[in-house]
Amino acid sequence: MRIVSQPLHRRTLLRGAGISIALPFLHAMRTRVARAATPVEDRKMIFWFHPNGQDTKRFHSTGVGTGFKLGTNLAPLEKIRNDLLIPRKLDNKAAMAAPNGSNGHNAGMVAIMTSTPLSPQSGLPNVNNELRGYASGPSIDWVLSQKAPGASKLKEPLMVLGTQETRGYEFGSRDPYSYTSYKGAGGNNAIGAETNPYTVFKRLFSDMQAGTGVDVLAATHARRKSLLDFVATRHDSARKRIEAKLGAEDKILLEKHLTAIREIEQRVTVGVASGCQSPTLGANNDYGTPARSVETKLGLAARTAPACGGNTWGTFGNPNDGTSFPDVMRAQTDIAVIALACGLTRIVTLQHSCAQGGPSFSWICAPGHHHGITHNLFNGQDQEAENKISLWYANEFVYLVEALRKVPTASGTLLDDTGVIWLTELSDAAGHSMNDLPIVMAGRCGGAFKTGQLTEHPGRSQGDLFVNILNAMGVPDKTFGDARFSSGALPGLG
Amino acid sequence: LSFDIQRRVYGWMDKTSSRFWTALLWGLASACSGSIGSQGGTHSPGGSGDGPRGDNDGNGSSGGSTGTVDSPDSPDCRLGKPVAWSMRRLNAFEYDNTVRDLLGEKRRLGADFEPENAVLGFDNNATGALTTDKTVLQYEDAAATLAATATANPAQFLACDTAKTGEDACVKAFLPKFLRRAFRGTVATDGVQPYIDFYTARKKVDTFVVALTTTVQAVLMAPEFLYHMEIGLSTESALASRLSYFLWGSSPDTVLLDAAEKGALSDPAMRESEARRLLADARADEMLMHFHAQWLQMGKSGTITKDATAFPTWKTISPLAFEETKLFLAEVLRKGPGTLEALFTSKRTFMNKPLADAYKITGPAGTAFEPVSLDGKRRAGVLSQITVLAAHGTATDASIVRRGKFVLDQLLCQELPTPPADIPPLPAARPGGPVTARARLEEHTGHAPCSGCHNHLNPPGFAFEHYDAVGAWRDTDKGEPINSATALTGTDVDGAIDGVPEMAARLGNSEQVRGCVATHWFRYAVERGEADADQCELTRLRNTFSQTGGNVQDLMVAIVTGPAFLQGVIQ
Repeated sequence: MRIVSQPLHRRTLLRGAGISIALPFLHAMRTRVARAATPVEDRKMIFWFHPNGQDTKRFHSTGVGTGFKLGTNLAPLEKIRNDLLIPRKLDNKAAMAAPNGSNGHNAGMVAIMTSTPLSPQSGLPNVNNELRGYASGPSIDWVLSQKAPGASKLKEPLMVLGTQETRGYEFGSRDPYSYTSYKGAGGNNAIGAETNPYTVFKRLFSDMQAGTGVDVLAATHARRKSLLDFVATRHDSARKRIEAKLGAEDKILLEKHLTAIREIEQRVTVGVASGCQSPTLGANNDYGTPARSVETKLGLAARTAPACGGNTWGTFGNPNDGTSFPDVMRAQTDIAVIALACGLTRIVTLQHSCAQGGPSFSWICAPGHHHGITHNLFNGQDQEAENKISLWYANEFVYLVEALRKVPTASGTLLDDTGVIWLTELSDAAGHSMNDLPIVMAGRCGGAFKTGQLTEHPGRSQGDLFVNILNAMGVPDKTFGDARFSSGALPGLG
Repeated sequence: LSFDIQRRVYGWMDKTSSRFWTALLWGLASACSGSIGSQGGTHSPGGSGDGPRGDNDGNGSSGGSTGTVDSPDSPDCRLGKPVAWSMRRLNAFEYDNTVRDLLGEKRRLGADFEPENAVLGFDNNATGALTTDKTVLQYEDAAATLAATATANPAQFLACDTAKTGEDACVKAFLPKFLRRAFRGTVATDGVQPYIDFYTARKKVDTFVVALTTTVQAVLMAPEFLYHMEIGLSTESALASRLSYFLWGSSPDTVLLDAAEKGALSDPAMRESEARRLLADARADEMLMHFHAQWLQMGKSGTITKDATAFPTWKTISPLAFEETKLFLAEVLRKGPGTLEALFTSKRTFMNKPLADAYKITGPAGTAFEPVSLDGKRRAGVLSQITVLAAHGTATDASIVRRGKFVLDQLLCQELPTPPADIPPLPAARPGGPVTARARLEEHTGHAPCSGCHNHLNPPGFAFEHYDAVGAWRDTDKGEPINSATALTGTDVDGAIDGVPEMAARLGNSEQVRGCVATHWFRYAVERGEADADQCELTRLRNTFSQTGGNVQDLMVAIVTGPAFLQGVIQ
């Protein structure tokens, strides 16, 4: 994406009135030049995850080719059907290879973006005495952030943004259900989603705050580099001190810490694309006071609750009952679009909650635990709730696609440059099935994907689809993940 | 299996070896899972880990945790190599407490940190802390915020007249003292000098205040601050940290640091005396709450999700319930009798008006928490508190199975096998069929193969039926009277009971529960699961706990004076 000067400012309000951000819109009257392809170094990918699979009977679209018929619960996607690429019949084969005794959600979650099987680890939080474990290799988003030309040089090589609900589904700790993304095998390589939009905001845009002149910014950068450098020397010194005395594991801990400091230090002065307008914080926030209560930070006001069957509804905006979920999700979506538009990152994962988790969807009159609902579809009330939830996610997917379309770039719009992929850890939720994953893609990823079509790939895996994504992003790999489940790029997508 | 055999399996007082016990448990496991599915009984208590230390000893063998009844003379006790302590990052709880004690900071910035992996239920497990870019960034951000606040008034922060003494002289005098507190032990001159040099370098380009703030930020990002780094400390200073992080969840105070540096902690009597001093301090209340919230699986205030439709006041009640439990634990375990029995049966608790209303009892009139005497029929002890009850309900309903499983898992340390993958869900209520959750569950699980496990799971769960999803008392379920009459079986305190207070009264005097509680405290104290080499120590701790009538403070003192806690620091 080439951002040109003289941006057309337009204010976008991050839901909840806490942050208002001026999106870096380019000259709206600029003639759009249709280009065959966006250069690979300008292409972007968004991984969009929600948990608990789908009711595949109502989710799956049918009909190979351009005349496909969208699934009932995908009705909101009709208006963007020409932007869609729907690869059917892909199996989560790595999840199916998980050891006996593991839970489908755990196995599905660790495999969905890594295409590797669960590697068991004892002692993890475990309400059902099941075998639990983390992934056996890195996830596609991380691999792209390292291998896609130029991606690792950006301010944020990979952004994994979540909602506050990405904590483990029981008791609030992290566990294997919490992670879509991994740098490599094992829990120590899991990448935690940043669930607080304010923290993300600060990290991304603090350099761009109004009143920060060039000299001040340079001094801030210099101070930060000197601090990180000094702290790195302290870690290095500690590492050398323990080297002789402690086991390799303790040394590895400090080495990881040290590496992370050095990597962050190298990115301190990485700036944003020129012409990207500085976002501004709204007045109604407590920016300097971290707290878990997202609603305080976003300044969410109580909203009028819908009448659901004559029930009285609770106050909205409370993360404890999940009702801030839609607000946080929109805030994270907006931040992701701005970060892509400003060239701060090219790889984003939006992780809406964790495997087997999810909020109580009170705000659309579908209360209860989403996971429980998906296992009770024979019950009319739960079927109705699942339909609402599925349609709601579809609408949010459309919101993201339309947000990308609104940002003009040198090649057309951000949607032309970007590929979006909708993933969930299972296929049919009720039976924990792994066959024929519910996957929907949008965007042409710079011309790599032919949209407006449905394709079928019996016997293939999502790992193969990730090969297509790698190739689209300029990485010539031939397989992805565990080679047992990946035989190369899928035909017919380009 | 017959109930006779189950008693032999579950009763930890029986003289069997841990291996024999484990074998029998797996026998029960297969019987319990019956023939549904194909995956029951495949759970292995060991497993191959993938964490930094996931595959060595000390990962916990929960299968044998209460069944181990070896005497110290048994050869099984000497198996295995003593497990060394691991270097571990401060968890968010410890971080917040440490900056509170170091800087007087009241905000709890750790709430925004990447959560730890709770391993074996505890967030201080050595294998649980993951280090990612996000971890490093979160420490940088937090350190910036904390340092800026702390140094807002430099003269006050440095306790030094900068105008008279000079800024640089004040900082140079301050840093050794500050680093001693921050790094939990006296730092040698060559360890202090880099910080003085850094300050000096920053002051060449920044103002005095900014240079000082950045230096304090660097201290808060140092490995000696962020990690439990015992290398570089004297063994006694390292022990001081182990003591204070176990009993306070925070850094040693100067009294403890001084005692360590004078060599006093080599004396077992002094170790006990220091442990008891720490336990008498109000800082121990944070630890008591932190331990119990994890052992009893309450989660954290704000993490238990309830449906906003059915329970519109839950958001207000949840933090009040946590406050009640914290005050209750302090009263019962720190100031009061200190026994497990009191924890399970005490009728004295603390409430304010909104909380009393949620409990549907007449209590205090205001918003301040006041002592409340319970009748002991509907409520008594921690198991009938909203924190525990709500955590083991669903978002919309009570849950017999979750609550029953909680009793088996956490109180009795009885591990059931993995549920088969093809468990059919509870069917929708049918016309003319059973109405209450209990009756429906009994009909659904009352026959083989379900009954294999549910005969264990359901009975303790039934005792909780008078409490709804948020722990409020109820007399009916879907219009029909509640039946909370049930029986404990397969324990050392078997018998008929009706409701939680009666069940809790039995469990509070159960040797089996005491053994289980001792195991949980051991795991929390030594920051890892038990290994083969710990079996003698666990036996000693369980015996001590039993001989003191289940006194929790005595148990903690026994742990900190024992070989596993002292491993590597005091020979």
